[in-house]
Amino acid sequence: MSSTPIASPARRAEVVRPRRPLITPARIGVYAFLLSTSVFFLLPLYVMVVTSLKSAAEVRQAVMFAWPASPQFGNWVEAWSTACIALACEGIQGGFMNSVRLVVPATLLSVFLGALNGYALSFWRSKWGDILFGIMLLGAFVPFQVMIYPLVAWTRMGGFYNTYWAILMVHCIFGMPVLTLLFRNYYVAVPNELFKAARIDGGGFWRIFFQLMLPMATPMLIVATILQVTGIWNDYLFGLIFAGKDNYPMTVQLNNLVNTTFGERRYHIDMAATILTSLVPLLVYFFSGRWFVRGIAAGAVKG
Amino acid sequence: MASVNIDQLDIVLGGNTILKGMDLEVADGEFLVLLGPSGCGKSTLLHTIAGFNDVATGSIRIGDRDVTWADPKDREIGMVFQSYALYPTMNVERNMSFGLRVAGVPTAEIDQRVARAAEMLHLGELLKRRPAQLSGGQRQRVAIGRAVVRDAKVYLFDEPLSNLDAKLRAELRRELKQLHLRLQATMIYVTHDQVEAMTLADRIAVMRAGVIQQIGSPHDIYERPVNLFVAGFLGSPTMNTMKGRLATGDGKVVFTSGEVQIDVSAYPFVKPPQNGQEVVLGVRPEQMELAAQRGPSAPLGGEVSLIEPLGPNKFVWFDVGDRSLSAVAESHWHGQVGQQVAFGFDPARASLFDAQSEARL
Repeated sequence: MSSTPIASPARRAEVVRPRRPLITPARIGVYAFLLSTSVFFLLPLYVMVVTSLKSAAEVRQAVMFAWPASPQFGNWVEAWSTACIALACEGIQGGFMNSVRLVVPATLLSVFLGALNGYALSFWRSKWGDILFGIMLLGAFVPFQVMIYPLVAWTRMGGFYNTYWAILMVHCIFGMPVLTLLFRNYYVAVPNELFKAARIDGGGFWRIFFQLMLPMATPMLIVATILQVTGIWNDYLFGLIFAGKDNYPMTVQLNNLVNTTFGERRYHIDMAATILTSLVPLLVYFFSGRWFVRGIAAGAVKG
Repeated sequence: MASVNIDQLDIVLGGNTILKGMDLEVADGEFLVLLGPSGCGKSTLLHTIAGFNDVATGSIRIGDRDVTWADPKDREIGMVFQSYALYPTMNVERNMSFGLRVAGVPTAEIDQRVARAAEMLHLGELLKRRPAQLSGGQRQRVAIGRAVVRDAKVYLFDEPLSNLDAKLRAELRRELKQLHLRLQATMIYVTHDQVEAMTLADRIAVMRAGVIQQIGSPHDIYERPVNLFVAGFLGSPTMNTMKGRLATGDGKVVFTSGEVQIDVSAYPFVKPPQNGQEVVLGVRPEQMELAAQRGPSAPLGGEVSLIEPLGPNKFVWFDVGDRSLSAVAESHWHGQVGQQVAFGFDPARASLFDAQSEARL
């Protein structure tokens, strides 16, 4: 047998990959589409930002797309701390605090419960597990308007209607189907042998959950947290119905601010308040977009 | 260390009876291999010993304890899985020590045991790595280490080498055998790989459809398979088989199949053969001996149809009647395809099976 020598690197380097043309009709089409959709989605944001920086006089001129002569950052300060909602002139800062006070515990609690549900359904297969899961999924598809009245009646019966606890509970309940589904699908893809190994090593229900399965689900925890933070922050209806006056979240305060009119509408202040309100979900998406896409994709494929 | 006794075990999963009336005894310190094709119930049996399946009837004892209904963690077992099943968020050290930490073993002792296992399995430099940073062979070593640190009474292996490439498999196989020699522990090992079974086992239990067909030393199982299934499952290429009839008379027993006539009087019959009995003759390829020409001592002759050189030797395939038989020839044998060859064999070492019951005669 004779072996042929391998081509020397120098000779191989001579082979040049044919260059593809930079501009093709397909590429032009793709970029045109991307550009137009970007403009479509960014335009409202642009108008919002621009308007929030205008003076009252400029707003009255009704040139929507014009850049403000001198940006009035004072508008933002006013919306935050001194704008009047009904008789109270404290801006929407109270709403911000209320939202934070609600979003943090509601997110932690609902994500924890979702992970726990998903874990229990995937590994500790009980007789009724599949039926319970089915019922819970059904809950995800029933329009939530249907459940509002019973929930109001129920919380009133329990004596905590219009309290912090009512809104906290409502958010946890409504987060449960999707979060459970998310975690169940994640855990179903985990080999059962891993669970068996932990069982042999002596782990019980809680130890396996806290020391093994919960840390393993970090990508899902991040996704679930993003979902819940943005979802609860953006919620308006539940906050309005269940939270009670003292706990109105920022979205409800914003609506009240916008609808409080003494004479002339102050669009620039309204826009400033809107930007402040949407800042939290905007930042969350901005800094976690990569994770978010990854998690949703992982869930979708593995499900 | 302890023996394992399984008595009249039935396993029913989802309405299907997987195991029925299973009896099995594994001696203290024995390396038992459960061998069989996919779906024969060998893994189910192992997972039942580990405590992951509910027992319908029967009992399982480890040592002198009845563990039929004991929780997996209370059975004092260590287990190694096909998919390694390492805890992905923990490093190698914490993977191995997880069970000990759960059991509340003092830190000093944990360190000592982990160090000992790491030394045995050459894992010293990998202790701080995560499973994702390890190769397949290293991962399975860690999984073995995790089982070993437990000082269990019985170690269970569920096809531990199936996910590895051929070279690593051979390497880890040797390490497992050395580990068994060193620990002298009771080990039950599930595989569908006959080479693993032959090389590792003290005894092999060949299973088919939830029933143990034969249990014995690798030599016994290979040389004297109790039925056609066992005969066909072990050995590569598989045992040559020919259907035919026995003719008795003149103190001789002759096997006849078409033109082929073979004197099998030397065969160690358990029961006296009957005249005209339909049988299957089985001869392992390496028992075939090349002869210069066809004759009474070389009754199998035919045309070579294929030659497979392996290096140390060659597989020679030749046609006898409508059967294709195989034989092992020395590497310096230089036959050609199409050439006429003749082979003989020692009837005393061959196998004869009843054609109906497929059981060894």
